[in-house]
Amino acid sequence: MNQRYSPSDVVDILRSNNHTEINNVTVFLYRFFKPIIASHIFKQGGNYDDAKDIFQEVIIIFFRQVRHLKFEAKSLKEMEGYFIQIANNKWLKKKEADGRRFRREQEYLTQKNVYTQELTSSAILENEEENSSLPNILERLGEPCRSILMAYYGEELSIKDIALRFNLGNPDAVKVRKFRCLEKLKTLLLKP
Amino acid sequence: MNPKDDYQRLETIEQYFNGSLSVDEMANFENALKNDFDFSKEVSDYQKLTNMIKEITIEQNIIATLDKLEQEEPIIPLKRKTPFITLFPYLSGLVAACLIFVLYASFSVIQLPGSENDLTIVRDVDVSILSPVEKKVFDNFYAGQSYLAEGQFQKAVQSFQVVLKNNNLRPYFKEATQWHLVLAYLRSGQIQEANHLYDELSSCKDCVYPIGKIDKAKLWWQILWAKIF
Repeated sequence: MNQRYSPSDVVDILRSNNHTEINNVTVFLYRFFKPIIASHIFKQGGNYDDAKDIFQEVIIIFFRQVRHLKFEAKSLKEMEGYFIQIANNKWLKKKEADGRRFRREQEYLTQKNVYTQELTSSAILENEEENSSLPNILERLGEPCRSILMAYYGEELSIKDIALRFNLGNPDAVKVRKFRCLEKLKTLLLKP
Repeated sequence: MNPKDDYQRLETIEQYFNGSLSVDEMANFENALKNDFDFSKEVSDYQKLTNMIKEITIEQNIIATLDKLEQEEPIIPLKRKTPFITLFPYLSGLVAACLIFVLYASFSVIQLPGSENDLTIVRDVDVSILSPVEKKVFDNFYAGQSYLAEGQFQKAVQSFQVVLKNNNLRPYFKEATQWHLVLAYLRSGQIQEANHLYDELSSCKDCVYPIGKIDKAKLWWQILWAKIF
């Protein structure tokens, strides 16, 4: 399949909840833009894994911007520029983070005792930042809550289908379970 | 809105967003949305939460699709620009410059220093009162230059050789004649002779005849070219 989409098609589909079409658009974005982003990252001295990670982040950021109505494109060229801009920012952040980590390691090796306290707190802060994001909260929700909520609200499956897919028995029980899971998620979001 | 219990309230909120409430229930719901701040916030939170779950689900599907594509259709890393490719514009410029120089050296005219000065520098005498020997030397030198200019190279060789038979030449004039002879040899196809004399002149340490470096290089190049082809 080598389907080509116009920028407005891409935007419309990503704003919808049509999983099949979103999947097709993802394939299109990968085939069309990945070589461009990858060669850009290679030029900056990155390797294949860097290009893979950066491209994934670019697509997710793009998806969020589209969903939150923060992106409108008139041409694929414009999209390319936008992607390269995000990739650049991500690459710079990665390099800065690598540099910081390297400096911290060096400092740690030379002045182990002095910085122990500081390192611990900064590591905690970083972890906090990571943990507070919704995907991480969903992870912390555990199974089968995560799967039930994602299947019901994300994939829009019926309670009956969810009961069958995850082998959860009575649909009514799944319904109650879903309610409890949602409440638990709300609590986690309020008090992460 | 009558909040019977949390579970029931959530059911109603979901039915509202599904569009499965009856007309009366809908009116009731919307009325509660306007008048009950807590309920309105609960509905808003529900909507935000479910939207976020939707987005995360799609994001995870996108990541899964990208991972699958990375496995099935890996983008082959473009080879990093090798130094040759990076230097290509500079190298091609250098090659072009060399080519231009070669063409220039091969086909441009070799200008040996002006002979009009030779007379006054070598011989600080009045031309009109030259001795017959001196006159013969000068005549042959200028004749050689004329033959060279006219393309009669063999005659030019002969004229310069006559000049050089005189053992009493001043160094400047002797060298001037020899350089002219090199050129005459080259033009007349006597490459070995030209090469031999050129080497002899090039290796001299106290030469006085001021032949320019570029002309010297052009002469060397043309002899080399003639030797190869």
